[in-house]
Amino acid sequence: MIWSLFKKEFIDSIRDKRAVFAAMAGALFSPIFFAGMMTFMLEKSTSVDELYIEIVNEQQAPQIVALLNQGKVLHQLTPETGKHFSLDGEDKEHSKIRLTFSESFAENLKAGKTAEVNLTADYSKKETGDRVRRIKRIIDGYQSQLISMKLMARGVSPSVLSAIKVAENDTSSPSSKSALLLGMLGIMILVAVFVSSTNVAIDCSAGERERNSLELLIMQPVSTWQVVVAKTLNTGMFGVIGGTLSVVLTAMVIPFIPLHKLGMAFHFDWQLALTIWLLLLPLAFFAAAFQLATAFHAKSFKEAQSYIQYTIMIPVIVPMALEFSNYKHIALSYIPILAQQQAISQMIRGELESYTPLVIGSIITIASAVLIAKFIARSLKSEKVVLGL
Amino acid sequence: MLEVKNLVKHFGEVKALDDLSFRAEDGQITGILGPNGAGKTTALRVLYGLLKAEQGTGFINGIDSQVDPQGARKKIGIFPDKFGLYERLTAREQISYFAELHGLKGEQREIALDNVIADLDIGDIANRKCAGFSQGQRMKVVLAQALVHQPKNLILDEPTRGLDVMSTRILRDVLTNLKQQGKCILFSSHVMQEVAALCDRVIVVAEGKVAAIGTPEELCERTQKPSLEEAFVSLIGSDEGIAA
Repeated sequence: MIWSLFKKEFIDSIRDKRAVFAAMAGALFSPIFFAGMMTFMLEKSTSVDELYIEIVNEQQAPQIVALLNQGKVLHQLTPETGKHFSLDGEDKEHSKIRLTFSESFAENLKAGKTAEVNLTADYSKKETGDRVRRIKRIIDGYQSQLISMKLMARGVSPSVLSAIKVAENDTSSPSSKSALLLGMLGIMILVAVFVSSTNVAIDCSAGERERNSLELLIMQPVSTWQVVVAKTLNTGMFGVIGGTLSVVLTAMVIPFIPLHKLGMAFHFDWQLALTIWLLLLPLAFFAAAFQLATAFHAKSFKEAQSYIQYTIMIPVIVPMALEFSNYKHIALSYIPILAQQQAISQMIRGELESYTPLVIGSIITIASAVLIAKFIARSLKSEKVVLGL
Repeated sequence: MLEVKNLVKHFGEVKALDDLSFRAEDGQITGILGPNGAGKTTALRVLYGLLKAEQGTGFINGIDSQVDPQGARKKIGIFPDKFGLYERLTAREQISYFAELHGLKGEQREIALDNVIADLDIGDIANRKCAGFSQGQRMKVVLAQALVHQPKNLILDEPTRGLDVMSTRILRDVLTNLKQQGKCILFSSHVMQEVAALCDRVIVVAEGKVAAIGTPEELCERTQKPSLEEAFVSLIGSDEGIAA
């Protein structure tokens, strides 16, 4: 009987092109979005842009100019209008910053007098601050080298200039930097499972009621439990399909993300993908039961859609909050959604110690799904739910 | 045979059923006639075991539907007031689904499908999706899905609502035919003509109670009125909610 019910539900859903498309889009969107975001962030954090400034009287300080060029700060005459100019056929942006070495710069420097250099820039622009600091850092570096050498030439240790030295120690390792991002990846796979089954869940509950076929179905010689099991299996199937697509795509996309630029050690091989996929199976049916319960208790299709929009935030917000706050508790490994998120993020980081919480978490997830299904089956005996009163 | 006994049911403050009892015999067409909101649909829902009555119970071929709703439902075919077809299934798939819900499998199911499709002359639309069907075509598919398992009892809730003349005539022919086969047919309606033309017995329901039971002629005689419509008005004391 459940097979007959399931078969019809499946045919009905698979022919609903909107639901199928939404399921696929939900599953494909997250890995692609993630890969794009990661690539963008990595490019931004690793590459230093060339900075074009106008240097007047270059010949007064050839060494400083050489240092500036090393730091990709290059000379270019300020364009007369606008800030763009063309270099080797490429369109470049000029910072409109001017560095002017005084006519007596070289002479004063040689004589040990203060040599003057003028920095002219529009400080009201927000990017100017960073650019000016970049130029000053290079000049300061040159200056302190020069001073050290002059002091040594006079027999004084350069350390008299630095009474206190602040030693900076950056404890962020490449892997802990990436941990947050990888945690996000886990969450996105979880969300795919939820998103792909949403349309089906609403359509075969609130939708079926609105099309007047739910009441007739309940009037047939079937138990509400059989009806709910068939609907949960079908909805869960779509979650599984979405989750599968998401995992496969992630495994395919990750090699193309330039993670090595950050020195990230990152394992996402097919064995890991398979383990994650197995973890998603119980979750998909939990998500199905959960969304069906929500949709059945809404009064209309529209109401179901807005309720589910909120409930779908749960798999995003709760794990995200935990990920950011770094809160840890043993119970978290056993709560549906969190169990899977914790396990996935630990596996991706290569920190998983034992498979026991995974197995127990999965069993608890399945048990919760069954309990929710029992609850729906009971509520389908009430006219309020069946008729949407 | 269908029977409800002493049904009492409230919706909040409103008394929907007030000690309602009636029976529908085999080989007869029994009509439940009553104004909108008289409790017809509620009484049928209790009979299917879909609603729980506060008092009383319904019997389908002697099976108490409040105790064994699934066993009871196996003995009936239901023609609902709103058709609610699955738009993405073909007519044959739709009927086949209901056949399976009633326990028909494999070859047995296919034979039943072929028979009902031939009986109702819907071979031309059997493999088309239900989306886009006319009201008359929908009516036939719904009738086919109610009859595919050859139930002893057929319950129709407001069957001619929204049907054109041709579809109504086809439905009448089918019902008369089923009656001759000895089936028990119960249908609720608020359309006088239909009841007068078809029914062997009429149960007039008003405010959750039985106002009168009898053949259309008996009801006219009892109230000393020339037509069933007049008789009905005098029985329930108002003509509100009744279509001629």
